[in-house]
Amino acid sequence: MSTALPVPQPTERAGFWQRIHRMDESLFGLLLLAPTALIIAVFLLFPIAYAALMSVQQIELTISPDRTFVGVQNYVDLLGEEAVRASLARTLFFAATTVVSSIVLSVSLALLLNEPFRGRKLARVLVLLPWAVAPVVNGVMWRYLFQPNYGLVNAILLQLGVISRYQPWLDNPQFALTVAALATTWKQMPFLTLLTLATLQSIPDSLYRAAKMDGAGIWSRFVHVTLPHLRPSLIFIVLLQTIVSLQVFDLIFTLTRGGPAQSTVLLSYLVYINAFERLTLGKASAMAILLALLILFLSALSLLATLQRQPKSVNS
Amino acid sequence: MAPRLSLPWLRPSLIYALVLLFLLWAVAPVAWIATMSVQPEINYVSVPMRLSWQSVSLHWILEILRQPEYIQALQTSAIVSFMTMLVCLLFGSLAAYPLARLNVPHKNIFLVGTIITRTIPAIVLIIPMFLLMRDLKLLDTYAALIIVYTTFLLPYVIWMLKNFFEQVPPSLEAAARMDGCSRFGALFRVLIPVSAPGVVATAIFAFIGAWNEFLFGLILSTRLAVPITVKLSALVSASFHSDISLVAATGMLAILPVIALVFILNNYIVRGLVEGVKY
Repeated sequence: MSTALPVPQPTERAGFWQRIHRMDESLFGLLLLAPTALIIAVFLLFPIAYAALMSVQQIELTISPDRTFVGVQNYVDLLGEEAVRASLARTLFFAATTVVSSIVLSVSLALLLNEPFRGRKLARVLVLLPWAVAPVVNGVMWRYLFQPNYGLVNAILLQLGVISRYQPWLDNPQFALTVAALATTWKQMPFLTLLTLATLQSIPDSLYRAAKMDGAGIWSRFVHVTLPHLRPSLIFIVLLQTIVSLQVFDLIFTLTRGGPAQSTVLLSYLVYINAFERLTLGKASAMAILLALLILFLSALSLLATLQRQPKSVNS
Repeated sequence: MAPRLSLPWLRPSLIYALVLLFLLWAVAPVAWIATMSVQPEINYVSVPMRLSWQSVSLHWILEILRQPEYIQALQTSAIVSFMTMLVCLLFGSLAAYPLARLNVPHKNIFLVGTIITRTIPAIVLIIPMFLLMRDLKLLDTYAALIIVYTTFLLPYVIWMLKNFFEQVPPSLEAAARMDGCSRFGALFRVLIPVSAPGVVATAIFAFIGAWNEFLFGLILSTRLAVPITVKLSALVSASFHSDISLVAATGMLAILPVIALVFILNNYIVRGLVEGVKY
């Protein structure tokens, strides 16, 4: 058929578009993916490879600009270092507590917002607020909430008679990390609530009505209708929050700067200290790679859990 | 709509009480820093506090807005975020289209790749990225930030757009192609306009993601391309001897644009966030 059409002017431009038009579908698809693949390769994969390379080198810019290959020495050193082990334990503890607290709060809020009540729409908009706040500002905010001399928390607790004078919360090594966990929970609640709410709303009303007709009480409706539908997305939310919690950096930077007495030095902040304060780039890179592997490992673990549980929840 | 669980103990009054409690928790921290930004320091530093409506003033916010370096930081954040959004939408839709619609070999590699890249912490990339940008002579430029933010946001953007594109019936493009629409026409004249709400949601997501970023701005910029988040953190570090109301005002300026976007376009944002993680 195309032979019957007049041949277009063989300008370069027309030729280009013509060629694209006749291109094989899969080739055309790859062509569209090419710019993204290039960006990812140059600015993501290459830096990762470079970080991996630096992690097996000794680079201490305070001593000399030289780099020497040291193999896995950086990794061995790290695992033997008390500060690193403490930071790793602290990070895992921080992740575990924030995952639990933010999911308990978010699921409760989602269950509430799933009930019909007047003003529900407005409530759903207002709870989005923490999501909008940049993590850096979040740190500043919670720092001012818990300030020793003028914090809102101190003022309220004093008014209520819980404390007799203002407390330096953030100077207390036992309490500083709790404030960081509170701030993280606060910031993550809207997103996790939205995801849970979306799942809750996808449960058809007919299921609840049928269960009710069969004489199922509230508790058994929750256990047999709500929970099975919620379970796959719950596991997914746990995964998402674990990744976020293990990466927390901005918040610490403005909230406590790792203090007091290193009590809020999470792994990502320890990488920062080693890279940009101590200028030991090799060691910092090794630590960063370890953090990335930890996150990948935990992600894979919870993905596996999702895949294994999904068939069960569909059947039940 | 009928109550979902109709818990007998969950009477309307209890629902309201619990929702109010959650709202208080969600709003109070922002309300506090907002209060600090419009009150003289002495009002909230004194024990007990002496907050008053009479002394509410925009003095501190205007004071910050009078300083060229803060205007420059806000401008940097705005330009960089806007450009990041545009670049993300362009490359994102180009990549999402074949992933949603076309028969591409090894499609799964791309799909899984977009998920894995999200698990990589920024801190892993920051040292190589610093060296790379130094070698490219891009330190302290808008371009460096736009490139880095785009790299980080693209996997999310692609995933969101892919999910939105998949909701459009394929027959629409088929019909357009039949009527002589080109391949790019099918994408730009049919698929994107039809999924406009989704594209808007994705755009806002990219803009906010870029605006709120901190670490790369901290390391890659020193003077000329410092975003407002970094400017704020510098002010906080130096705030032992500066007016706290000024710090609070800067914090407010850093979050107000995003809060405005969220409240004006909340419907889009809710859809976008949910779509961005739907598998």
